[in-house]
Amino acid sequence: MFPFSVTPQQASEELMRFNQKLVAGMTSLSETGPISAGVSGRDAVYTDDKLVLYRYQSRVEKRHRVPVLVVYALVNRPYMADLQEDRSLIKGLLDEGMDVYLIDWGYPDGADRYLGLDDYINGYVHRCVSHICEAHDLYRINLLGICQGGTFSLCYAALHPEKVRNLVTTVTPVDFQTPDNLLSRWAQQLDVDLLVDTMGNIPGDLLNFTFLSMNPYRLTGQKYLDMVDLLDQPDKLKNFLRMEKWIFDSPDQAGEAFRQFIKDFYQRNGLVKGEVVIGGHRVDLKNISMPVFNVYATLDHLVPPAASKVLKELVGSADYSEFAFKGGHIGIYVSGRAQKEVPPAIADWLKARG
Amino acid sequence: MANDTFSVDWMQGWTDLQRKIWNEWVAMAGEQLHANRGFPGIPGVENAAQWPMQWLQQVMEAAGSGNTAAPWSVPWFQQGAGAGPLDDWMRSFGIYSPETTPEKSALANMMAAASGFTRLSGEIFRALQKMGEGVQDGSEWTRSLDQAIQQAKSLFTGQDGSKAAMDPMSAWGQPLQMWMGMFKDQPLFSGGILQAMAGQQQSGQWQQAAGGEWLQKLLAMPGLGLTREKQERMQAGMRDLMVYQEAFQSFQTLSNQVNLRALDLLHKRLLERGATNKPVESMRDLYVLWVDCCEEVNAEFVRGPTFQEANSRMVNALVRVRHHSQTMMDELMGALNLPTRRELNSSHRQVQELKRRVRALEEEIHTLRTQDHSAELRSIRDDLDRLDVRNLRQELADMKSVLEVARSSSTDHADKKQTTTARARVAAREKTGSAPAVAAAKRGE
Repeated sequence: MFPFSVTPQQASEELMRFNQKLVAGMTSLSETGPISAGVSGRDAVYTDDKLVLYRYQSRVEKRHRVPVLVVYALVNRPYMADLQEDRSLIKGLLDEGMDVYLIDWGYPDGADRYLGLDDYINGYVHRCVSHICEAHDLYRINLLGICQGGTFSLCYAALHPEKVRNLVTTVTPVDFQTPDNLLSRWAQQLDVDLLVDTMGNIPGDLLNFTFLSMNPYRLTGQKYLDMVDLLDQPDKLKNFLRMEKWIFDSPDQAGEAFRQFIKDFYQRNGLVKGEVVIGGHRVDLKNISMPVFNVYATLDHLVPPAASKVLKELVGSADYSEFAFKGGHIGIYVSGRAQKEVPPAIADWLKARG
Repeated sequence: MANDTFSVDWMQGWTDLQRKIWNEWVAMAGEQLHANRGFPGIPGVENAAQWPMQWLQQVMEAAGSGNTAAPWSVPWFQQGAGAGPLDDWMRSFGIYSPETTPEKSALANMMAAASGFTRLSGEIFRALQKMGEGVQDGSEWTRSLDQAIQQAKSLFTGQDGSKAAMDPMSAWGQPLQMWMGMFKDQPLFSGGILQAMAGQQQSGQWQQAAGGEWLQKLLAMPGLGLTREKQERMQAGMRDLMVYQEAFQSFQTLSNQVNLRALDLLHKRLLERGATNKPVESMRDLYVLWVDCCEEVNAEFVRGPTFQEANSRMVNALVRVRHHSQTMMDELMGALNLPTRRELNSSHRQVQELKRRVRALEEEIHTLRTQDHSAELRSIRDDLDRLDVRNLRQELADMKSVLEVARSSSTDHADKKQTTTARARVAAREKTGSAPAVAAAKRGE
């Protein structure tokens, strides 16, 4: 059978409809207004250089006694965890009675070039934890890390186990050299010293380009063709643009921290080998003796499940649990199903551990 | 095989329907555009509203003339249009400004995707027309399909292969654009130079154009005289550029293979669809199938060591060029007595180091301030308790009474006075020296 059942008339009509949508959609696109993200009420409670620590306003009468600090990645912006009303990990946690704090790293500039992992983990994270402890008259709190922020949380918990009551990691890379880790493969032969010495801070656009290169045809072509179908649906168009904003709202990476992260974690796989040294102290995951809840996404192409699940073998905790979400790296936070599954799972686990 | 779809006079049907549809479309689009968008008084885009109409006009003319290439040359979709018609058109709709916002960048991407889709549709139509002609001549459609795929492949291997390879749907254009973007602030080695160099597809073409062997020899010559060091640095920079060009060409050649292999896979998938009676039912369907093929081939390609090596070589070579140009720029700035990047880096490093020290001191002070002194306090309280202040007072009172007794009896018993006083002193000494002992004595212990 001939593999095309498209008649000239059908094809012409299809193209006509497409172009009609395109032309008509220009107007609706110009009328979308500003794209905002971040829906939950919050207060800035602490600042440290460009970092802002936010405490989210409660949505229940009585909050859980122990606050949870969300440590986001340096890549992209943390409002992904609170993207919109019906897609918000933060809101889900608040609804479950959690007392949620979040670190917003801000946008590093040239003056931040020499910020290293020691500054981020033993500096910023530690001071945020201390601030929350003092505010709540607690000696330790709960930590929730997202992606690279999860790796930071693991390092912090290993270096300061006495400050972490319970540790939650989500889509967190631990083994950076699993066979299915495409980012890692690309990073192996990168002359990161030359790159950082030359560029200083690493442009966020460069990282975006790297992520897009993983599915270039779909992410730079088909996606936008599909967008034409949304032009006459204002709400869906706005959601699309909101996600688009998040994807390309990429802070530059502080040069020294980037150098250390690529070399020690991606190229040497030091976290698994116990060879990462931060602030003069070796990061030994066996020091993580507090309860650990490891959430990963089964279809994650940036942090493959195997890269996360290895944590079970490495931590010193006797109380280790996993939660597998059937979805991707971003879907675990913003998909409709994730809202029903992920925040309750995290909150229930935390509540069960006081 | 059955030529069922082409059992009717496809060509005639195509032409008639196209003319009819375009006529209706012209009327519809023209009405909408003229009614809503006038673009009056915008310099350079006075006729922007006419562009869609011009395209439709081209379509009409092409449909009549049989020239099927022209209809797809939409003004704002043209490759290389760059900041020209598309930007003007966007500006005319009031959604263009230098700042990038999600909707604006999304619009640009959407237009690029739409452009790709439309161009692809044009190619498909042309292919279908040729297949129709072939079928009319009695050929099998499979052979026509094969020819169509080969024709598509020629886009990536012909004279303009580089352009097509770099922009099948704007995807492969990005490595170049992205990395070139790094050079925007580098006037000595501007993106334009690199773009021109990278744009030379035939291996060694640039070197030949620039003098080939002569250039190689020149770069190998030792520097002489006062500017010896500068000469050497310039030579090193040029060598870096040549390494980059070679690395870029290797990368581009590999990237091109993805497009070619994706077309082979598309060919295979189409034959499978034909064999399983699951024909492509729309242009979009075909587009998605092509994207799937591209992604499938690309996924395999980028996981392989060949790509990783080529990609790393290209990136590292380009960064090396920039590093060199940055060093030269610093020299120039230094010569002009202006701040250099090196100096700024030193300052930033020192500031960061100072901040770390300040943080450490702050933390120490905070620790000292909030230290737990309760143990020390307990110790002091114990000491105070041991002093037994109450008994010391009693002891003092006793001594006073002893003294008074002694004073009153001094006149009567002058001889006894010294003895009594001495006893009292002894008693006082004993009491003062061991208050608890006195207290215990008082308690009768």
